[in-house]
Amino acid sequence: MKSAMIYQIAEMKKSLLIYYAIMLFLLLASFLTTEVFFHFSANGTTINGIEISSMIFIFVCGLNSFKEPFRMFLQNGLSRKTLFLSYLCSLLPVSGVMAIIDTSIGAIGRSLGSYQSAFHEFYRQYFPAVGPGQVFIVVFALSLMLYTTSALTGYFITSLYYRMSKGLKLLVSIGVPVLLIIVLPIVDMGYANGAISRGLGEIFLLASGVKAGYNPLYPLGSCIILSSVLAGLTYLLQRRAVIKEQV
Amino acid sequence: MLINTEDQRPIFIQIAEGIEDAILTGAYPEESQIPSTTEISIRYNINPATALKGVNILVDSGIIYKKRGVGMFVKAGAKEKLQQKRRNQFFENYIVKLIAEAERLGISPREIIMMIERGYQR
Amino acid sequence: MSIEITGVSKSFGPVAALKDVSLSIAEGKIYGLLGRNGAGKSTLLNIITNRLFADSGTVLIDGEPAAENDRALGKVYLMSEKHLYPEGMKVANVLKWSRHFYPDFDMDFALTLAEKFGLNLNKKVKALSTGYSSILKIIVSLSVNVPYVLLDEPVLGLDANHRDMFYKLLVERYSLRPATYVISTHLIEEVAGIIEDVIIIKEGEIIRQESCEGLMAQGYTVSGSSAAVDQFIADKIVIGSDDLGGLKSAYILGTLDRSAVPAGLEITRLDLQKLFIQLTA
Repeated sequence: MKSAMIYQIAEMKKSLLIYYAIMLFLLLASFLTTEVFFHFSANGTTINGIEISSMIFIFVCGLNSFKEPFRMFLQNGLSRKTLFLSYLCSLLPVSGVMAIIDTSIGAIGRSLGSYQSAFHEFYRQYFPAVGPGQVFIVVFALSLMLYTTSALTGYFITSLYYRMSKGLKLLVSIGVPVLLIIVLPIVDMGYANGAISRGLGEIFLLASGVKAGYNPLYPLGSCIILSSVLAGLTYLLQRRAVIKEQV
Repeated sequence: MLINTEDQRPIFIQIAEGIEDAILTGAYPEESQIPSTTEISIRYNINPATALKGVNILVDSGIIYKKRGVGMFVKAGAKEKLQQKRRNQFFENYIVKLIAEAERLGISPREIIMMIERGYQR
Repeated sequence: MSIEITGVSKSFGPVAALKDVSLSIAEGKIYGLLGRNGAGKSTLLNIITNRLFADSGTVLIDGEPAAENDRALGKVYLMSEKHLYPEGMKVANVLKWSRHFYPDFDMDFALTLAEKFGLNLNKKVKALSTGYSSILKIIVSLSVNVPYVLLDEPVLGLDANHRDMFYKLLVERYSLRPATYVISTHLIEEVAGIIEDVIIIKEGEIIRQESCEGLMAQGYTVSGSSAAVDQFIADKIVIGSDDLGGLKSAYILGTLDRSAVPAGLEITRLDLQKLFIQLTA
């Protein structure tokens, strides 16, 4: 199990290093241009946090985390159980490290003036009521869970696609977007008088904590729930995954 | 020693006989060491278990003995023992076949005897 | 200690790849797994090693169920026709990770072999030719030191010299460290000498499973003029024959009575490859 985790982490490390190298470069570049060359902070210009891009990055990571390790593990005599568990156990520390880095960048950036992290901005109303230490922890925890959920979403999707037959893949790839972008709005407007979108909106407001006064503990909980569901479904998918030799 | 893949007899028997031949010609003198089963199996591309089987035949018949940790050696008196055994088999293995072939070719017993004498004069 | 396969069946849609296969693979033996293309060899090997799931039946490795069991699976190593290493991985890393996952992996031996065969350690797996891909697979298989090593077409793409090296290495390795090697191959003539037991699969069923020597001793080949051969084989069990003009070779099952062989007929042993062709025609 330990060797399995080492392998998973080693695979993630490569992409991670490249990502942060690029990110730091971009941050430094924009910081230098705005502060050093143009002194924009005085005018209230802000740079948005890297949390969103980290979420996207780790989502893509999740998409790439199944097929190659699956084959590698089969070649080396490890079960699908070990594959799945080692991924989870590797994902959490990696998300954690990313969360710490991003939250720290946020904290440093804010003190330097021109930087606002996305979460900080969003949950502004909640923060004044608590001390800076707690702010750090909350933002860290939220980032951690959001990253984990993003990764698991990617992981779930790639596992799903691996298990699906060609026909099913086509159906889902076309059908799901069509359903969401075309069918749902039509049904919503034509028959439900907007009840569906209102309902979805309500759920979103609740899950993100906006309704409860921009409380970030709500999205934290939502993420934990979502992660668990995704993890469970993914395991069910992976359990019966088989090798496709002709690759 | 040659392994004949066409020969009807099992490989392990051919191995045993090959070693016997080598002992008879003096290639493996008495009390000298013979190749290990590993060497034999590599040399002839055969399964080590088969080589072992062949060698064990000779151990059982007192031709070879194993020295633990060292290897396998030709037993004293092996050559004589083998010569005796081969003598007994000579008639079946050679004479009978020779006569069968001679009959096929229409060679008379007289001619065979003459040919044998000629052979010794060479 | 053995791998026990009991009642394994597997179908892919309407095609039955394996039909109620039962097999016992003992420890410390070299097996030849022979079968035509599509007979079910790879399917069987994949089921043993948890890559595919059987529709029914069980696989026990040293008494433990093999499916999804890391400990049992750690005793078996399968080198399939297409390996499962990531395309972009370097050869050196393939060896490194093998040692990582198999604690008994002999890295010194592996590196020695790499040098012997001329395998570039820095090359990426996808850049290897078929021959060198096989060489890498062979090196890992011979270094992994597990009780059961399964090799699916190990000499694909290897030139004659390298093939010879492989057989010699296998025999040497086996002598030093007896383990079970199951070689699945089409090159029957080449492996006939080194395998101890033979398993023949035909259309998803095991039709023969016995010692190679035993199988070959079950019969013989008789050759000579067609007329003479036909007369001789009239009361025998003939499993096949080859004709060339007036000459004929017939493959007989049964014990040979040497004294009853007429002059002009030659008796040789059954050829494993010919026997295989006759049995799986």
